[in-house]
Amino acid sequence: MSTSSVGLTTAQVQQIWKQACAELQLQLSPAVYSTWIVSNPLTHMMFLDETQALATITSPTAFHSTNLKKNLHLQIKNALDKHTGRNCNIEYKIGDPSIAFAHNAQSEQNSQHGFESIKTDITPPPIEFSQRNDASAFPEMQSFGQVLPQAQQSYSASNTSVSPRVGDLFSEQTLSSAQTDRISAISRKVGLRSDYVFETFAVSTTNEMAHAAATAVSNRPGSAYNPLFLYGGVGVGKTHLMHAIGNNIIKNDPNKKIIYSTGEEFTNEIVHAIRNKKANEFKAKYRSADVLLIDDIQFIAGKNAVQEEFFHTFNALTKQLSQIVLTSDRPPHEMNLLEDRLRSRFEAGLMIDIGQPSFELRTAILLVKAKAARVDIPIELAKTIASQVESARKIEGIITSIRSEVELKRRSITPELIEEILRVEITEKRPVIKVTPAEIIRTVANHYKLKQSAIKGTRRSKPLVTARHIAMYLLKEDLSLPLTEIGKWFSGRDHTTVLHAVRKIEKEMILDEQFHQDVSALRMTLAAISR
Amino acid sequence: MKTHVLQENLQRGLTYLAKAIPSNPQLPVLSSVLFEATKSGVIISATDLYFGVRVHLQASVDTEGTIVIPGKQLKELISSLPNGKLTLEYSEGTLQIKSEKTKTKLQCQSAEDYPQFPQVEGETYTFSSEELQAIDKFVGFSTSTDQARPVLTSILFEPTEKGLMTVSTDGFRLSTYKVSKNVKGDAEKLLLQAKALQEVNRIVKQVEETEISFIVSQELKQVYFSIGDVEIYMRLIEGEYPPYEKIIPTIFTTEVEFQASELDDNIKRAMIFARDSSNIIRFAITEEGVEISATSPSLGTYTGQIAGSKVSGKHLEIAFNAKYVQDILKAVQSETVWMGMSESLKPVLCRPSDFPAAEYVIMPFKVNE
Repeated sequence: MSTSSVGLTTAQVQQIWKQACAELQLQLSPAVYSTWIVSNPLTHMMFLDETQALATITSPTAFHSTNLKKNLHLQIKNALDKHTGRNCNIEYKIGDPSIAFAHNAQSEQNSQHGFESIKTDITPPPIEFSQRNDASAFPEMQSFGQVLPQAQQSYSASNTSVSPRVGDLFSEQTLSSAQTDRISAISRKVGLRSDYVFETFAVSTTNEMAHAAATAVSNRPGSAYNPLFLYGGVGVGKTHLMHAIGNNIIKNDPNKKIIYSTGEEFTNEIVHAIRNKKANEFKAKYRSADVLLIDDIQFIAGKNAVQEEFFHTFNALTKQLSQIVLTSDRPPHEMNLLEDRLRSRFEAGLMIDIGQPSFELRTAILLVKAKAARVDIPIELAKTIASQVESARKIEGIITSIRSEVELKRRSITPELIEEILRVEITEKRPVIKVTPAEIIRTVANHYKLKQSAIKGTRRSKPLVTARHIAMYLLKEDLSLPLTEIGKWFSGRDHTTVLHAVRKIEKEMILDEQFHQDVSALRMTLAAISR
Repeated sequence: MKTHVLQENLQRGLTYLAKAIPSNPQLPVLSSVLFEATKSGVIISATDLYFGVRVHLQASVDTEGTIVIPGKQLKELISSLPNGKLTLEYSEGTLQIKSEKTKTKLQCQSAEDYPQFPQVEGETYTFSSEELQAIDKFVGFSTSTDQARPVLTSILFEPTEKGLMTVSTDGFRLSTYKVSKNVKGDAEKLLLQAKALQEVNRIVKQVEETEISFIVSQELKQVYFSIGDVEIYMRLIEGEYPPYEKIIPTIFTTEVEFQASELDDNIKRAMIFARDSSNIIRFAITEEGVEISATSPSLGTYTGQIAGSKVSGKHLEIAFNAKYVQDILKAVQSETVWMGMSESLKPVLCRPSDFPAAEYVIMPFKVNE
C-alpha cells in the first residue's frame, strides 16, 4: 500500500460514520433516517491523498442502493466531506454490511502500518484507538444490529426448548462424526480396517523407525519415501502400519484412490484377468491408483507372470508419483525367488525392519488393543499376558477371548481367568511345524547361507556354531526329537552338547532381540513348508 | 391523471402485490401502492425494499400521471366493489374512484417519496413452472424463519456435476432435491429466500405461465422475475451456506422401510399426545417391526405398531420431532419411505422410495431416558 493512498480501519470508518450520522439525523426525518441511513452504513473509506477520498456505502438491497444514490447522495457526501476534510467520492455497494466489515477486518491485519500514517489526520482523535484496533471488529458491528454470524463455525440456531431438544445438524460433533463415518465407509470399501490407525499403534524402539516412515508417507504420499518396504516377523505390526497409512491418507483427502490388496489377492486377480482376457481392466485399475498398498508381497515371488505384471505396474505408478507401500515377512534380498529387477526396485526405496515387540511394547500393545476393545485389563495382568505371548496377533486373540468370557459368561477379569485363557491360547496358537529333521537343517543352512554339510560337520567357526545350535534347538523344541537322536544328525555329537546348545539358544533369545527374530523367522518359514 | 380500469383486473393485480405491501413500515410511504398511468397502460407496484412486485394492468388512460395510494384501504375497497369498469381520477392530493354506483375519495401522498425500483441486469435462468413448484414442494418447507440468519431462510441452488441441487435447512433438518436439469458449467450458486420463492410460485399458478425466467444480478444482489404481466424483485441472499453435503449420513446400522400411509396415520394419532411435549414421538425399532409411541404428561400415551415396516440391522430406539417426519411425508407423497439410522443421536437419512431425487436428513431428539 502506498503512503499516499490508505484504507482506514474498521474502527476509524465507524467513527467517521457515527459523526456523519449525527449530522444526517438532524437533517432528515426519523423515518427517512432509519430507513435510508441506518441500514446503509459506510463500510470502507480510502484516503487517496490529502484532498480526495473514496467512500463505500453498503446497502442491503438494490432498492436501498438505487434510491440512496438518487435521493440522498448529496446529503451523505456533504456529511462525509465535512468529517474527513476531503472530497469524497461515494461508491454504492450491495451486500451484508457485517460481511463487508469482516472483509475489512481481514485485510486490516495485513496493513496495520497504514493506520499509523493517518492517525493524525482524523479529528477528533479517536478514543482508545489502539485498543479498539487490537480487538476484532466484532463488537463494533453489533451497533448495526447485525451480529456477525457465528454461524461460520457452528450453525446452531437459538432453540428455546430446554430439554429434551433436537440436536444441531451442523454442530461440530455432527460434522466430525459424519466425517468419521464417511472416512470409515471409504476405508471399508478399500478394504482397510478402520481400527488400524496410527492412534492405536503402540510405538517403541523396535518399530519407531517404521512408525515414523509410515507417518511421513501417509502425510505426503508419493513424495516422502517411495516405495516404502516394511518387513518383519509375524505380528510385529506391518499390516497395522499399512492400514494406518491408508486410513490416514483417506482422512487427509477422501478423494485419493487407494488400492489395498494382499500379495495373494493380487496374484489371484492377475490370474483371473488373464484367464478372462481382461488384462486391460486390471491394468487400468491398478495403474490409476494414487496409493498402492500390497501386504505380504513375498507371495508373488517365484510366480513369473505375476512378477512381470507387478513390475510394470510398479514402474507405471512410480513414474506418476503414486505412493507404493509393501510389506513382507523378510527383506527383499532374502526373497530367493524374487526377480532381480524387482528386488533392486524394492531396495531402491526405504526398507524398514520391524523387530519383534519387546516385553514393554507387548504390554503397551495389549493395553492399547484392550482399550479399543473396551476391555479393562489391569496393568499387572497385562504384564502377565505380555510375558507369555510373543506376537501382537496373539495378543489380539487373547483380548477377544477375554472379552467373550466377560461379555458372554459375565466373568470378571481375574488372574485366574487370564491364566486359564493363556493356557488354552498358547498351546493352541503355536505355529505347528511338521517337517523332517533334514528340512530343518536345510532351512537353517539357507537362512544363514551356509552349506548343510558344514552345519552337520565338526568345524567350529562362530557363524557355523550359531546356525548349528539353532538347528539343534528347533529339532528339540519343535520336533521334540530326543537329544541323542539330534546328536546323531550332527556328526554323532553327545546329548549333553545338544542340551547345552538348546539352553544357550533359549538364553540368547531372551537377551538378543535380533536373534529372537531370526529364530521366529525360521519358524515361520518352517511352518510355511509344513504339511 | 385519469384512467379507466376493470375492477377484476385491478383486484387481481392487488392480490399479486399483497405480500409486497408491508403493514407497518418505518417509511410510511411503503404501505402505499405506486400507481403509474402511462399511454401504454397502468402499472401498480409495491415493495418493502426487500421484496417488490410490479403488475401491468390493461387500462385506458385519458391523462397520464403517477400517484401513491394507501395500500390497505385500496385493496379493501377494490375487493368489495362489484365487477365492472372503474374510473380513477386524481387531482390535488385526492384520488376519486368511481364505480357504477359508488364514489370514493382517498387522500394520497406525493409519488416523489416512493422508492424507485432497481434496474436488474445479469444472467438469465429459466425453469419450467413445474420445476419451480417442485423445488418449493420438496425443499421449501424446511427453511428457517429466523431473519437474523438469512442464509437459512433461503433455498440453495447449487449447480453440480449431477445436475442442479436445491437444498434447504433450518439447522435441525435438511432437504435436498435434485432437479433433472442441465446447468451451465460456470453457473454460480444462488441463495433465494424461500418465502419470496413461494410468492413467485403462488403468482405463477395464477398467471399460468409454463416457463419462468429470472435474471440474477450478482452486483446488485438482486433477482428479477418476469412472469407474464407480473414482475417480481427479490434479493439474492449473501453468505456461506452450511456444509450440507458433509452431514448427509453414509453409514447405517438400522434401516427401515415404512408404508407411508401407515406411518402417517400413526404419527397423526401420536401427535394428539406429542403436541404437549415438543412433538416428540419415539420409535422402538426391533426385528419384529417398529413401535411408535408418544406421551403427554397430562393426557396419556399412545402406542402403535406401524404395519408393513421392513426392518434390517440392529434394533434402535430413537425419537423425532413428529412434524419433521410429517412434513417429509406430505412433501413426497411416496408409497414407501426409507429411513437409514445409525445411533439414537446421529442424523437420520430419509428417502422416498418412489422418488430418488429428494433426500432428507433429520436430527433426532435428545431424550432423557
